[in-house]
Amino acid sequence: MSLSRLLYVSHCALKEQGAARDTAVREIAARSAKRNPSSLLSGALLYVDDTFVQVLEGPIKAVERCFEAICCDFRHDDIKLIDLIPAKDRVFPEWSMAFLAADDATMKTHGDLAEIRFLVGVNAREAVNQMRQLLKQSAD
Amino acid sequence: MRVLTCLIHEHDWRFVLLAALMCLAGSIVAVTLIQRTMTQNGPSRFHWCFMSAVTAGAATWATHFVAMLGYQVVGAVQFNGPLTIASALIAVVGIGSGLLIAIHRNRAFATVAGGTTIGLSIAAMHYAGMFAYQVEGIVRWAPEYVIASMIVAVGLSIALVARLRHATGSLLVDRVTCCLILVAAIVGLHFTGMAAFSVTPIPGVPAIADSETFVAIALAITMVALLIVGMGISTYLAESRVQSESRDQLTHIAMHDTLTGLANRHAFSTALESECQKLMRYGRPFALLMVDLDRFKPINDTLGHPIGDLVLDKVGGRLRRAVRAGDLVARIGGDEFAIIAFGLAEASQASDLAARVVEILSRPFVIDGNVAELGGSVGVALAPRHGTATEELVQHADVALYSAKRAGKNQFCLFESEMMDAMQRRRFLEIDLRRACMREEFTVAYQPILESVSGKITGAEALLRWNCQGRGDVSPAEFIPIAEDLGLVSRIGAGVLQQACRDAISWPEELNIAVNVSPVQLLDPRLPQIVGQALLDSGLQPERLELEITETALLGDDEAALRTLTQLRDMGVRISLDDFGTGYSSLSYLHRFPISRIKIDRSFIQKLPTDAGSASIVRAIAQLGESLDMQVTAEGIETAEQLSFISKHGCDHVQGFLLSRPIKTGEMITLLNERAASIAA
Repeated sequence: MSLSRLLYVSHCALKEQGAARDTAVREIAARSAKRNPSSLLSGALLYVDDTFVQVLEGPIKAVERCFEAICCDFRHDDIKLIDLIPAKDRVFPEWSMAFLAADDATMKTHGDLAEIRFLVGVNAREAVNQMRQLLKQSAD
Repeated sequence: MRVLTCLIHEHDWRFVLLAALMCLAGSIVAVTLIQRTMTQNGPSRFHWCFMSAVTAGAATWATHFVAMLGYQVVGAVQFNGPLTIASALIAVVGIGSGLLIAIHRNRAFATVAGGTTIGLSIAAMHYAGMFAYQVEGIVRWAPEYVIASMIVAVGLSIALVARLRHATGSLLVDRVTCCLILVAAIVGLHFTGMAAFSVTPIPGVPAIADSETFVAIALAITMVALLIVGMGISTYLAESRVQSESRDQLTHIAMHDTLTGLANRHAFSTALESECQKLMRYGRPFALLMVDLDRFKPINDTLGHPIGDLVLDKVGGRLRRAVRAGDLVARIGGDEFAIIAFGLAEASQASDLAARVVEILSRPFVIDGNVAELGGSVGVALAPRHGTATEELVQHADVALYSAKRAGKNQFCLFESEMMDAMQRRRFLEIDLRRACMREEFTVAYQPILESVSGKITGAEALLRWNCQGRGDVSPAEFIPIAEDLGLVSRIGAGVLQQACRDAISWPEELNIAVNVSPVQLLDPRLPQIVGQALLDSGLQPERLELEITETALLGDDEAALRTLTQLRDMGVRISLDDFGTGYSSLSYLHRFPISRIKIDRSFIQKLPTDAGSASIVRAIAQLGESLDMQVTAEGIETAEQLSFISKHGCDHVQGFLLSRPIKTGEMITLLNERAASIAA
């Protein structure tokens, strides 16, 4: 099966603020985690400083369909497609949609996330790798 | 009277009831099918006719025989098989023929002949049935009742056909009325006919009544007849459903765009018209948005039409998401869409909606691994503020859309009445501009360029002027963009080159001439040829000609630009970079392109010598020019202080109002002569 990997960033436009916003974002991630397996999608969603960084991987048609739905969503704006490449293997095979946010419980710091977000603009591949590293850290 | 007596006393009421129900049920269905036959066109008419005939025939025949079974007579009764069957066939064939005549074009003929045929068929069936009814006894026929029965049958049948052909608005009323007429015809014929019939028992022969068999037969006949009638109903209903489904499908196809599933142009016009009427009647406001995709055509060109179609489909989906539930989204052209937002009254609400549309269209599209960034422009017109008629609103929304496009695309614009004036002015300007091209209304003025240190005139910049008949002077800033849009700029530019070279030849040999070249001209592959022609026609040496281009000209297709500029340089013509420092200047341009002069933009000169920032920039550019071995000109010198600063800090040439305004070639020559004279003196 030929895979594709898509990376984009966007700005959160949810009406809720503060803790309510965080909860809402978590819900979005959880819902997509539930939906994705049926379309053979996997990936990770990073949320820091009101910015989303999301990686989608899977068959090209599924990725395109999912991205189109993302582009029809008004809960975020300023969407920038950073990278879209064919891929041999999945980077996030264990997660239908992993969620990365500043969290005391899993020891993910704001700094780590902000660094990834900055890295996206410079070296997309490296940013994706770092996301994976961060996920593995908390898993261990 | 005899008929009633016959009906009441000589018939078992249970059989009569059964026959009556049979007749009613059969007649309703028969009439429904006949109505269909009348409205149908083409070959299917005959099928409907056949079904109607079978149903009506079965109803009539069954009514007759069940009633006969209920006829109380003294004496043994037997039914002749073949005649019984024949009577059924007579009924079907006769009624069928009658119907075929009844649908004839000629109304009078159809009604009378058709009605008569049907009536006589029913009568024929009855009397055939009567001959099949063999009873032991002396049978007597009263001819007056026979004739009366036929008159009843024919008369009511004619009435039936007449009523069927004269349909009122209500299908149900027609159906019930005709059914009652048909029932009256069948029943009337039967009992009038029975009144003609009397049986006198033969004395001595015992009467054997076999009522059980008769009941069984009656029920059997009724069942068969009802089955036939039932089939008629089923066929009709099944066909109606198919018809209505296909009608729905056709309506959908007629009102919707097949590619995106959005409403099509026709549906949109209808809806808009309807909204305008609602506005007039109830004062309900709405907003009209015209949406035009910005960069769709390149997608079609580079990725092909199938991908283009997929993109359009996605665009349709996105627009549906951007609007509120109930708003109408339509595709009215190749990459043109329209939105009617019902009930929207405030400009702010309309702006919000337009902003959402612009934003959602600016998001990337990914199809088949290809990424496309389209963008869209939106024009908004509000009803009733900006108009109440459909043409007016569409025109205003279009003008607003045009403004959005002109303002740089990827944005929306609300209609303002000034736009109509601007639009009008532009349209008239276009007409005038075309005429000016034909009549060569353009003139060229020259602004002298001086050596900054010595003050010697070394050349002049050619500036296009247009004095429009009836309009006066039109600034190049206004008409050049229009000329570019109309595709006239190459032609006008060629004219300027010709004129400038011709005028320069009349000046002393050491003077140069500089001509502006717009980005559009630069992309024209004919430019070197046009320049060459101007030089040839005038006899001007190429080295005396300088072409001024702006930085934006180098932004687009720089490969083509590089080719053209290299060709020009090879001809001996020099290239200078105008308005330097204001555009997307990349220092690599100076390196890549064959540029021999930099002209510092007037905005830096204006702030000299007081503004330290501008001063540094001017100094830096001058030094840059020197190290790259390029000439540097400062434009827009208006004060003596600016002039002295420039001369001190390394700009080779100066140009500006302080030194001289743009003047005609004749004045140029005068000026040069004066200078020459004063130097000599």
